[in-house]
Amino acid sequence: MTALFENAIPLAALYGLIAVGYVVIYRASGVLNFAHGGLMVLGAFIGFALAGIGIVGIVVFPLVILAGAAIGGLFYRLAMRPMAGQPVWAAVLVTIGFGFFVVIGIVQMIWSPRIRDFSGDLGFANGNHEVLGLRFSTIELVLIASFVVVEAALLAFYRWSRSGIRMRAASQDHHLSAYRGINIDIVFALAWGIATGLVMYVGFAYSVDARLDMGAIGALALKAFPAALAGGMDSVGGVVAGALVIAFAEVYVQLEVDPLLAEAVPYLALLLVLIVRPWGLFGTPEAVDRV
Amino acid sequence: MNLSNLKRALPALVLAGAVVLAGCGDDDEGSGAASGNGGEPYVIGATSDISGPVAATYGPILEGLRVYVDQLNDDGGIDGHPIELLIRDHKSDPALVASDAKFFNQRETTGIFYAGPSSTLASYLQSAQDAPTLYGNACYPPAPPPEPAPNFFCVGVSPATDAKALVDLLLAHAEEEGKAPEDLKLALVAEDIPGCRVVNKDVIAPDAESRGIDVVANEVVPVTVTNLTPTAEKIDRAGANAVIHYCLSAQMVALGDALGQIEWPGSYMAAGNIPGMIDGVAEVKNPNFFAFDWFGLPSDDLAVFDDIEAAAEAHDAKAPIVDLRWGWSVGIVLHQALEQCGFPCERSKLLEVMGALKVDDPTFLELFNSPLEWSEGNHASPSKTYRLVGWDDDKQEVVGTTDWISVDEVGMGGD
Amino acid sequence: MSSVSRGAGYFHRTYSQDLQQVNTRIRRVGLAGLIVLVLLLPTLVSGQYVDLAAQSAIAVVGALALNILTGYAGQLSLGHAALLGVGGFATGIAATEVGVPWPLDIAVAMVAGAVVGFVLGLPALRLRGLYLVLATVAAHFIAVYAFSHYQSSRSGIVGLTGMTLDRPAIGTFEFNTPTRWYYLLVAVAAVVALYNVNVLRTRPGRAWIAIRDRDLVASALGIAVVRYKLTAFVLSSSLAALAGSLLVYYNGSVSAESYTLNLAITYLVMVIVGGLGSTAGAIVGAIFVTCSLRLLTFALEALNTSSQFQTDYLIPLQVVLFGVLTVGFLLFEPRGLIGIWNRLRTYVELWPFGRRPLAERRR
Repeated sequence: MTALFENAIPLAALYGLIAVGYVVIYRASGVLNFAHGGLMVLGAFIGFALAGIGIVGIVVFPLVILAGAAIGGLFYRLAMRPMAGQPVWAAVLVTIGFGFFVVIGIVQMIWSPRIRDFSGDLGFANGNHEVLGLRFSTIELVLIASFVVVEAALLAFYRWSRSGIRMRAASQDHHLSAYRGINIDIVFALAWGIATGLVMYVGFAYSVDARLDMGAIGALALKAFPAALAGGMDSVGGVVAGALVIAFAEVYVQLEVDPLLAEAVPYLALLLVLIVRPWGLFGTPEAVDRV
Repeated sequence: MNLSNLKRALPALVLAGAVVLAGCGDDDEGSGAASGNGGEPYVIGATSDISGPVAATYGPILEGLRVYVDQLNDDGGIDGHPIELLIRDHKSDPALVASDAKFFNQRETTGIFYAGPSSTLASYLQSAQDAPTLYGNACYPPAPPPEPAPNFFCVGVSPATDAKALVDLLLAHAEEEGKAPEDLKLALVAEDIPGCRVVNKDVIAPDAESRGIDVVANEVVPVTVTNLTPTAEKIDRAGANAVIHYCLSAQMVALGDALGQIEWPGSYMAAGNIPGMIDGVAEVKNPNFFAFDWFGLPSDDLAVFDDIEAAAEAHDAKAPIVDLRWGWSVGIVLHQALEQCGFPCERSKLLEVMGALKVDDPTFLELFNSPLEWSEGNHASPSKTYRLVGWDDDKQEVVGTTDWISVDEVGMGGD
Repeated sequence: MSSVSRGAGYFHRTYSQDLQQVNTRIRRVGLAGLIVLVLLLPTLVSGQYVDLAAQSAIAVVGALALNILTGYAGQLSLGHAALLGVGGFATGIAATEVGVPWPLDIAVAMVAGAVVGFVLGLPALRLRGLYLVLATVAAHFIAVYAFSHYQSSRSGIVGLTGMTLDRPAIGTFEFNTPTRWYYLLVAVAAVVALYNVNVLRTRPGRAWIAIRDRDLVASALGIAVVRYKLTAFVLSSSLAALAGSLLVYYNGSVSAESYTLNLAITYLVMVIVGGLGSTAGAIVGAIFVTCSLRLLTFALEALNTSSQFQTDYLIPLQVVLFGVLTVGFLLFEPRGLIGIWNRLRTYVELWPFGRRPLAERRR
């Protein structure tokens, strides 16, 4: 039983952090961002490159976030903004082309595709800690803490900050918000920057814990879609519920049934959600019919 | 005049045309490293997973060969004839493997070097037909005895032999610790690719049981997972005190790491000849984490590693030196085979040479530790030496922890 | 098939003339020329290009299958690799376990594909757009798990090397050279293409176009949306299974690892780069993507750089270029190659004018 919690909670934090990125972008641009896998890998390599040139471990994390934000904003400006009038599937395919091919290919050109473990370079050890009778590693605690902080911050941001309110307005109705003087461009660039920075940070943190394997990270990013959907594709708060459900289901099957089936469990859950309640636990129902 | 339509269309057409023209042009001149040594080159096809899902394992094997060949060419080639490698990336996609094999056959390369996971094997076999093939992988059928196909050769032994050696080493290690076979509770772990799963299920498990070892768990892990803590927990729960893990380096290292994290006290053994493992053992630094290895280690202070290091330096190898061992061994074997074949080397002549090739010069033995001997009934090695390697905290490097044992090639017939 | 007017001089005096697909002299001549070129291709180019053409033909069948679902009916799907896998495994199981001879096992595969398509289509009925895409992604991974599970349940040497298939043969005529494969595959591709072109003129075809544009309105117009969506899934999956079956025979083996999400993405890219919603687009896109991937390899090889440069830079560069190609087309020419072709045609047709007159009788 403890094994279940010890594995599912960090996994939920991981899925949650990736899924939050999906939700933020979906709310802003109405697009599913398939590039998260590639961006996570990029974030990991950038983080390790920074650590490699001697920057202290603690400082590397925020630098990776900043780099991610810059890349996200740039990607929005160059690739997503021109897609503004196009059908949504075209924008989704742009993210696929970017994440699956351009980013992965560039990463392979600069660094070769072999698996890395750089935890030694960072200057702190990934030891074990006891919390509430459960054993977690340092990075796992960092991920859990990050998820809590990010959720709280985003909910507060959307609810109370001016930019957040503008973002909510823009995602509800682009035209009306523009008429009211909200700079849609900046709002969306901000959304993409936040999501990308977040996801690159997650990629780096995960790789410190579990070594950098491009295939594994890509699979992980895709498995986070069910977490986003189960909670509600446009609900930041719902991600918590979605991630927990998916993570616990997956780890349970991994421990008790069959690790291979566990890889398919998030997708089975995804189909179930889509069939029974497409807008997830906390999403808004009319969001489903958007084509 | 509205030119916008034309303007939009032209750049794309020009680009497409350029690609087509470039692709259609002079492909007969081929590619790869022919470092202009005057003589006509030996053309060898080489296909491996360079950028695909298992690139971490098979990329360095190809790189080891490539570095050897580049160095050989720099040193004048074989009697003035360089070796030209036509390198293809098959990304572990059976369709691309088939396509590469067909391409090499159409170009009538002297031979083919094929490194890839067992999932691509069937596709390769169907398409390569009778091309002389050097495996860059464990020696899967149809190369090992009893009836090796005439054109498949391995620098290594069949996975069944590896499996037997693993159990032998496990028992030897247990004896050192004062345990009898009956005291061992063994868990087997394999990745979800046929070459590993089948070996676990059909070779290691029955062999272990027949020697009195209790197999308490047989886990299969997906290839896309690198956090193996749940598997470690399951092993712990099953009460295992020994684990054998045969296959891909990422998972083997990850499980070793996970077992260390949950502070499992048993002995963990994984396949060390695979690229990525030696560094993995060094990173995990767990005294209970062993790898069984075919090759010599840098910590043995072998002269051959200086050669490898120099060549890697000169030819920009990206993999760590220790991961180039296998490819380098293949390079030595290829070198000798082609040398004996002479120039020009037709496929039939090469097959004849390879069918009776013996490689046992000191440099090769430093690296491979046992001689390579191909004969009509055996295209693997008649026997192979193995030992366990592990992390030595005092010396801060990976060293051999047992003596070398020798295991005869057991062959892999039928079902 | 064409929305560009034929201009002056082409009058239809009978219904049968009106119904003809290839209805102008130029088009007939062009088609005849194309047929001649296709038939003579093996004599004009070397073996590896014939091989490439054969692979393109298989890709064409797959792209046409996807075109029915995504291009005509507007149901965006990333599950194409799973459907190819259904075809492949059905063929493999039929051939090796049950002993069904070629070409019957291909027919079995198509039936299996149809069944799976039906099962897949049912939950997809109430999903649109991105939700449908996610559902197909989920279906992909579940299918791949099923394939791996099946493959791992077989032991021994067969489990080790996967299912291998014998070369197909008609009597003693074996398909074992690129040229023979080429003719067989081109013939199949031609039949499927013909089917695709004609299906648009049938009731289901017209229904799909209506559903693609606005399914609520289609439903209001009395079109049985449920029935035709399911039909699209069934037909598309059946043809995809055909492509998968041809693919495993061409490669000679069945292996769960070849059905990756990247494969599904590649087919989607083919259909979009060619031009979504048109048969010619799917064909052109399939040929273009298949050839450009391989031709790019040849082109980079012809640069004759050191093998180190090749493995470290040029090979990943191909991956990058594929991504750039995809993104480039989506950004600049979302109507694909056919869109480019139409632009050129419009330019030539309207020259020296730039635009069409506002009022014109359109056919």
